[in-house]
Amino acid sequence: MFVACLIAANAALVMALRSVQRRAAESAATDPAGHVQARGEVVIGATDQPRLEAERRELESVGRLAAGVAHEINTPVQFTQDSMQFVRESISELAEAIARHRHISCSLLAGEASLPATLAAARAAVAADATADLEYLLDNVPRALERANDGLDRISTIVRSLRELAGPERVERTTIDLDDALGDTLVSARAEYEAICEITTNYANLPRVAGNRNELRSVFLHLFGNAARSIGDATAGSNRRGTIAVTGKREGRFVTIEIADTGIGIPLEVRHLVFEPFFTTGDVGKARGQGLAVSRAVISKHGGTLTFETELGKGTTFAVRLPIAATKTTAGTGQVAA
Amino acid sequence: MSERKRIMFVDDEPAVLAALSNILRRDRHRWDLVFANGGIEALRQLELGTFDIVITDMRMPALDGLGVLAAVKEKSPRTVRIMLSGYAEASLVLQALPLVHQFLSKPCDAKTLRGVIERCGNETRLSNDRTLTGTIASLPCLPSVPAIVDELRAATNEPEITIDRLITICERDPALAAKVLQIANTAHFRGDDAPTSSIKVAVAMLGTEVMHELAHSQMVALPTNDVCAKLIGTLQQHAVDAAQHARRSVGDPGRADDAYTAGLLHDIGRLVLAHELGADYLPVLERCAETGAQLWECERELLGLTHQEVGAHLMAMWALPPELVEACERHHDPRLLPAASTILVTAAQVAAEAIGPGSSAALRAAS
Repeated sequence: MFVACLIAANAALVMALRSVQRRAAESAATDPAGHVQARGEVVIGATDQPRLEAERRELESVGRLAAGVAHEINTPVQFTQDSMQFVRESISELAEAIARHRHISCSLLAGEASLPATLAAARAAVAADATADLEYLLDNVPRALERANDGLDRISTIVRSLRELAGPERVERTTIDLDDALGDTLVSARAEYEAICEITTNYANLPRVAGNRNELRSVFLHLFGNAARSIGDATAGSNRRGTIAVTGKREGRFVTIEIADTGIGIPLEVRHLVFEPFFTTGDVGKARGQGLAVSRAVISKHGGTLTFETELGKGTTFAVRLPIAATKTTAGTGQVAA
Repeated sequence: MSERKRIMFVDDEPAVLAALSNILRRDRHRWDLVFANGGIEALRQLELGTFDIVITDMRMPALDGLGVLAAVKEKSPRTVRIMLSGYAEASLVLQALPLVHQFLSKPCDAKTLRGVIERCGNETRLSNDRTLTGTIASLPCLPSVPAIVDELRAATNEPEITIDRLITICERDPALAAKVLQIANTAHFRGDDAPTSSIKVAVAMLGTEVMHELAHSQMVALPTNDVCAKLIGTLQQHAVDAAQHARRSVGDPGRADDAYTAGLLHDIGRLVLAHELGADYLPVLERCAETGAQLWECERELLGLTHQEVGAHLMAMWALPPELVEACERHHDPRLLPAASTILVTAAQVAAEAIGPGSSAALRAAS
């Protein structure tokens, strides 16, 4: 049922995507004089040009998003659907097998059948088990369920990240001790960087910021992970180790946290795509390409900015800039619309 | 016939392969299934043996689906190449078309997948003739009439081109019509709609921009040998005559366009044979003119196969609607009772009978 809903939602998404692409293509087909080529139905004045251009870029971005969503969701839907159908078919085979064996047990207990007849029936039942591929089913049904579960997890992660992209929502907000949040995150990210690089930290007594601690931690976690991967790419095949430098400082009404790596840097031609949803430099299939888009959405929801500077072969520095919490209280909770 | 179909699935996602192997487990007695985790593993499997069908994911690290299918085409041309992809852009579909016989979209349920596998490579007579099957499988497209190609290219370059104009062009050329129907029936364009046999619907689904891209791509081609160049005008006129006849022959106006297509494509096998065999097709035409026997009888005698079989094989490979494939395969089939035949088979039969094999003077002129 859930899968069916997803497929329906996905079909709607693809339809929307197609119409977006058509509109994007129409805008793209507009020649400098403002006439829509190969259509003959719309003629737009030359003065609309900048607006059209902006609209086209936005549509392309939406198109990329929808294409990314379609691709990311369709794969888990594929294997979840197949796995569930396999389980469904297997259950009926298993039910038949149980019925076969129960029949023998029952007739034996009731004293209705002679021993030789029961033995013959048992042999037939065991043979039928083999034909029905029972061993395989018993072995694979739990795995298929596990797989279906993973698939649904993946789908809901994608859907959740889309919700982040969709913008502000009501979240639990507190004032956050950044020293503490950064320290915690570094501990939990240890597995990502331990083998690859050293961490240097240069921050203390950072001012508190208002927001959602878990969301901010997920941003830091993501930035540490990216930094470690980039360093991993730079040092692959050598004994060298890189460094991630974490610094924090107050700048007027803002606090800035910089996470600098000694990785490979970001190539010029993809720099403008870094914050695009579903853009990834990671291996296709491994990286999901949503982290930075979601991270930027989270930071801007907190009234801040997420930017980067990069140099090929030297490394990349991401800067998280957050407004300092207005209240002087050290801790306070409340439901605030973000 | 004891040989079992060998099918390879390629995906970089182990979960997709594991689920497929679960769901297709009960087909293990009739099919040999191989699951390759990624493009590199697929290449290794290609070294170990040949496959009747390869079904691959598109986006994969290291070696993507197109890379895999290029290697398959190179190594075993007769293998049916299928793309199973989460999402494909229109331009990607066109780019992939020379390498891909059929497109499936994820999620694709087991029933659909089984249906595709069952239909592929089932044309038993042809499947035995490995050379010609291989040649047909590696045909990215068929030749069109040069004047129609010129007209199409000029038309798509016009700023004010309409879909109607493109339809009238495509409806006059069997090769073009077949290609347009193949693309319109891919998962990307068709989505979840039923397959279409109507050239009108197909061209409208593609739209002017895709038609423009198609017209200027390598998927629209001219005759490459003298025999085909001489025959193609006659074959095209014959196809259009048959198409018009077929359209008039059906009572249901809702099926008129489909019947038209069945007529237009019913002799597409002759185009394939002229294109592939060139001068080697001439003895068949000469025998036909000398003895007055049916063309397909002469083909059977001299080539061991008929244009119906060849045409149907190509159309099945391109995943055109099964009804059209059947109409092509059976348009000379005398054993078929009217009650058992579909409306399109009947239309193609009626048209073929009424029109005959085309002017024998023209056939002789070519030889």
